[in-house]
Amino acid sequence: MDAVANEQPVNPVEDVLPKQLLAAAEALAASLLEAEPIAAYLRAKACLDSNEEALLLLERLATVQVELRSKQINGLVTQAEIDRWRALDHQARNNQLIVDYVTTQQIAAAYLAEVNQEISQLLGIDFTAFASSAGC
Amino acid sequence: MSHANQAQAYISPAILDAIREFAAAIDATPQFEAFEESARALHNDQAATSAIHAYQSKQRSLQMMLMLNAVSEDEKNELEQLRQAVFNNPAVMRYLQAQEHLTALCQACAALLSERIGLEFSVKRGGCCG
Repeated sequence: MDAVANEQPVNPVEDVLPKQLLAAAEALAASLLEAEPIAAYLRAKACLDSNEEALLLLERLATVQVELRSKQINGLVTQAEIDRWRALDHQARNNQLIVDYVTTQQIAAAYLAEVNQEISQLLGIDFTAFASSAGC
Repeated sequence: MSHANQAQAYISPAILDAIREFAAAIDATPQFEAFEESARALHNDQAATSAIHAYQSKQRSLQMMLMLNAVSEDEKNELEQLRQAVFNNPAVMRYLQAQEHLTALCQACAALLSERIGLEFSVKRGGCCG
């Protein structure tokens, strides 16, 4: 029983936020899901996720890119490997599902940057700088 | 004009309302109030602002030498003492603590929003080295 009790999921984000702010954040999230740039991205992602061929292509492209980068450091890249990467990259750029996914993701990101800008203007602080995780 | 720029042009009135509600809710938190108060106090604190200016001024004067790793021990010590004077100042300490608390709150909001919409909500532009 104790073990089960210890495994109960915790939701630190919801715990940190005051009720009023949590409700406002949930309402904003619900509104954003209705916004066309976000909705279009989610539709494109769903289409991509349901297409094994496109996913496999992206996976192969990512694998080849990682291999190339590591070989590049040692100067061991062959022309055949570059040609293989170019062929996969060309296929990805001509795959409509992948193109739609990348395009809608860029549009959604630009839209969210605008939303962050609006919040910053209302609060008089750089909300993005406060809210973005300290990475890198 | 790129697709991304076109998307930046329009945020619907309904979403603007939700943004205003969200901003108002942040504005009403103790963390935001404490941050604003500490920022005002810091701005009006003569000792704190003098210490900051002295440190920044010394840092600027040594910038090139620091890059070349050619700063003398005496100058390094002086710079460190000026830095200590800034970070040991009570007004600066209160400001940094308030900033830390507000950062935690904003990051929690962004984490929640990111999770709900399936996209990173707040991304620093050009902020990554990758």
